[in-house]
Amino acid sequence: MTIVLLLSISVVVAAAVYLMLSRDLFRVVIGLTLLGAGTNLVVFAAGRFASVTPPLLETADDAAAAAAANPLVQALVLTAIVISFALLCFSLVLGARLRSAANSDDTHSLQSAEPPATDAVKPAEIKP
Amino acid sequence: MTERPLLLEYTARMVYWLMIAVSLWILLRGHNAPGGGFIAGLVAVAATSLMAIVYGCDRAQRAMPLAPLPLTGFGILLALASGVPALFSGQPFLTHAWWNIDLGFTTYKLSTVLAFDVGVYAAVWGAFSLYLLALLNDEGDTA
Amino acid sequence: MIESHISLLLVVIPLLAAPVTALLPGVRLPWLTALLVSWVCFALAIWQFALVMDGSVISYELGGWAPPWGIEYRIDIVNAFVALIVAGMAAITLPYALRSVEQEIPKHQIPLFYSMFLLCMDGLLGITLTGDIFNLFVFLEISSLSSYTLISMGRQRRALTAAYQYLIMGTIGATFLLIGIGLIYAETGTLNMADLSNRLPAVFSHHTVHTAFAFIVVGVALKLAMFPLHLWLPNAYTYAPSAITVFLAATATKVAVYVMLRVVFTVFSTGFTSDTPTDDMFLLLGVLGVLVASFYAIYQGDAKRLLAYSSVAQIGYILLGIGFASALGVTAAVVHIFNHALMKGALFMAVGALVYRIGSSHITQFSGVGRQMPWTFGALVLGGLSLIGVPGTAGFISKWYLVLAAIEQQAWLIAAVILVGSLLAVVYVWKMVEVLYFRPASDTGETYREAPLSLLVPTWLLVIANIYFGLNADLTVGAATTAVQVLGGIPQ
Repeated sequence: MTIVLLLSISVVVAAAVYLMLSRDLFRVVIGLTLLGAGTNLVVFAAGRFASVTPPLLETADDAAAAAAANPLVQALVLTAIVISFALLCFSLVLGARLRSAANSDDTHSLQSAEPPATDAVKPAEIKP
Repeated sequence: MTERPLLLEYTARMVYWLMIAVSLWILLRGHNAPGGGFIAGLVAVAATSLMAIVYGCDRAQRAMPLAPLPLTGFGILLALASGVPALFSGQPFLTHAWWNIDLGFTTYKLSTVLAFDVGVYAAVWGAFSLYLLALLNDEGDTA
Repeated sequence: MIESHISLLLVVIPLLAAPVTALLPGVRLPWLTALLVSWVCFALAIWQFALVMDGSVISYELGGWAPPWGIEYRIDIVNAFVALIVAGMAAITLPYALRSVEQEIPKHQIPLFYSMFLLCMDGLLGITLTGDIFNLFVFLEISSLSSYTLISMGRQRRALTAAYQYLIMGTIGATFLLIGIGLIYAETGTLNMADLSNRLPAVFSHHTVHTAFAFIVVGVALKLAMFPLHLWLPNAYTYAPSAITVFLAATATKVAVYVMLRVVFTVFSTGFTSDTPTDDMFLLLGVLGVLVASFYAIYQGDAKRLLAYSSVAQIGYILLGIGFASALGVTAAVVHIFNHALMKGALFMAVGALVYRIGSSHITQFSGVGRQMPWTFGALVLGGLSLIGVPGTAGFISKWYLVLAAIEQQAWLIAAVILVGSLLAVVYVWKMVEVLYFRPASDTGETYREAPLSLLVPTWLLVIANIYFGLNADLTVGAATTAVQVLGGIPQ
């Protein structure tokens, strides 16, 4: 089961990196969200994954607890999901504002955050 | 919009209240069963988004108990305030108190945790509606 | 009662006040609330600092859950010192913010601005006070999200792009941190930093822990703008509203440096110096950062951008201090966290005052303005001297300790780099001074009045602090020396 989880983490992270290398503003945002999802799976894997016993125990049953999944990681992942969801919302609104302000969703044309190369005091732009 | 989606408009109102009711149910059962403030809040946001898509942002906002920003503020305040009583009894912040309420057919566990959950519910509903309405408004401007 | 909850109040009061501030009408009322909250926090931070001055530790268990299971706020002199910087800078930035924000931000956004400011301060305080590494991640995200919002409120359209860049880089950094946290949790089953420092040395040979260490160091390095991961910083500082540039430059990267100190010395106590080449990497990147970023600063045409690159260089000095991993080096790093907050705060405030009158932070627009705004100019010069490290200013103290640390390890090359960095600082500070004072005023005949008092007073308070802590280093160096003992993991 762990190997399945591992494979899915690698697929999700690979997709995230692919999207984040894109020039499209929103693909990058989706890529970030996927990266967050991949990370959540990594943290999730930190609690025993193969267990079939639910982490909620009626009493302090040590024998059952030994076979149970670690409940704390679920709490951590839930928190991380909430945070990445808030982040997704914010970046979508920011991206929408940016697109309507710049009339473009191409990250290359948004390079204009850099001062124009014609500045007298700035050395000539070095082309990569 | 020239064509009005009549069927959608008629069902949307009913579904909206149904969704709000479901979200409240998820909120109240939340502590020991799956559910809770965050998930319930998201269901409520889904209800608001339905209203916003069918009737537009203004109507969706009016159907909410408060405007999104005050709702968020109220929610965060309530959630944090639920931890404060513990300070006065000399316990650390966020130590929660529990009471069992006998409803005759069942006992409901009332606690300051519920106040926390209601706060989270309101904050999530408010904050994500705020983002949602901002995005939908932007779309309206550019379209 | 207050004394036993002091650390908690530092986090809860701004968090409670932030939503209230967002709902208040007008411009003055939200500002007044934020101001009051920041002053209360500053007072609490001073009190807290006084409590742990002697090296004792305050532990606060949230919700009554005993550590290491529950979230613990664990305050020793290191956190208390950094919390003091954050609360102090917030308390001094807010009086400055009133006029500058009125000018730079649309009226209807001002309540939201102050609400986000409080939230950002809260996140930074939370990062410093918590003893739980996952809680630290949560506060990191709170402060980051609010600072993205604050930066995107800048006047120019480029502020949106700058916020977007910071958002992408910051999120990747936080994701790396989270992966690292997940991995060390998998290995040790605990998130409490004090508990981790007991358990990690035994399992440090495992590859999982090595990987976790790498992820956490890179994640935090992104947040503290370590060269070459600094690319988000110049744009973010240039296009943010002036008051936010002051606050973020003085606190955000400093808090990230604190996290780095905690991680490498307390949590992974042995991994840093003995098992991995991280300390050498810090020295190398510190040297590169000082040299390259200083050169970049010289070539900038925008005053805020120039100072932003200088910040990257100053972070290079702090990294050198950490990289030496000696008592002297870490003392220098901790002292420089404090002194750099003072000098960059003063400099960005002075430039902000120029922007307030001139409407641009471009150096070519500054011709001759220095003679028309003598007090602002004076603050800029004194702040610049501190940045260079002239004896008698705060900047000298930290560089002095850094050079001592380099000499102690016979790293002559690094000592030379520190001196070259100071010379480069002379060049870029002179570049501003020359235009401001020695160039004739622009022929448009426009004259500028001196900046209003509400901008000048906070600026000069910081300038005076720069000189005071340059002449009397007992507080800073004393705190830093105790901090080195408390951090642990540093060969004495």
